[in-house]
Amino acid sequence: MDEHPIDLSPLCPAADPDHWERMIKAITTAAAPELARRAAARSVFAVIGHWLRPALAAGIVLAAASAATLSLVDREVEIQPTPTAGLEEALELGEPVSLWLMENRAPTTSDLLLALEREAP
Amino acid sequence: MRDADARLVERARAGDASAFEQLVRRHLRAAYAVALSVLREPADAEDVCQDAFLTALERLEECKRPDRFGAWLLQIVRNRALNLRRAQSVRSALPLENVVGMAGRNDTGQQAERSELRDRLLAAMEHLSYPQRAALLLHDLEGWRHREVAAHLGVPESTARAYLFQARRRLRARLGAELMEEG
Repeated sequence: MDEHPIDLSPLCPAADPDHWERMIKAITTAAAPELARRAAARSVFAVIGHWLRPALAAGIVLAAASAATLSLVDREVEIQPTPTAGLEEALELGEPVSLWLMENRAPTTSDLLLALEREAP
Repeated sequence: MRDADARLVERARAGDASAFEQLVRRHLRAAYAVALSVLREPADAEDVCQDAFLTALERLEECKRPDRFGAWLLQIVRNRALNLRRAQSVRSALPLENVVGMAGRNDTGQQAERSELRDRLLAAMEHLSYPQRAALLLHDLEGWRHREVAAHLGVPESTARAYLFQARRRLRARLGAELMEEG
């Protein structure tokens, strides 16, 4: 095999340092507008990113506060007394009837007899 | 090298000019060698390198493996160079050996001698195939290893070695014949 390298240094663009630097300068100068565009785009993202965390934190706090308020309202609704007591008072029902209503049952024959006895003058 | 490339690519994506310049300095020689192996004309190779670096910058998000930025860039260089060669072959019927040389440069003394050597080498390389020229330039000019040349050309290492062997032998034969003609 032909293992000896050929001296190709005359073809090396970096052999002339001035020319080499001009080549690099030409590329970087031509790339400057695209690099500036990228830097500007990244700065917009950076601003959004800067505000994103505080906004997220505030959102989480608001959501937690809303959830807590809603759960308290639900509990208040649950512990409200049943309107049955108010209704029997409004209808001016006597004690035995209100008892049947509270126990949610139909009166038995003896209940009815007892009620009639109480109503009798 | 690869980790450093990945970091530089990341910074260049964010518009960091110094990172991009470092990428240019790291890969311009190899890019130039690939472009020259296709085009055989230094001024065209320089134009293609500039074009390829700008294309690479614009498409930097498409570089899926930033640690292999060099290989990705060289594919762009090669494609751009092939496109230019096709365009030239359509545009002009001038043989390449008639336009060899770097236009607009003032050659004096040592520079003139170097310029003449360069022109001889370029003329002799006209007789090599593209893979032979690429193997020769990447190995003997850029100092790439056989496996790196093989990876770039997409051939087995033994084939890359054969290309290099044939290129050296043919180039020496050409340059030797020229010297004998002058003597």
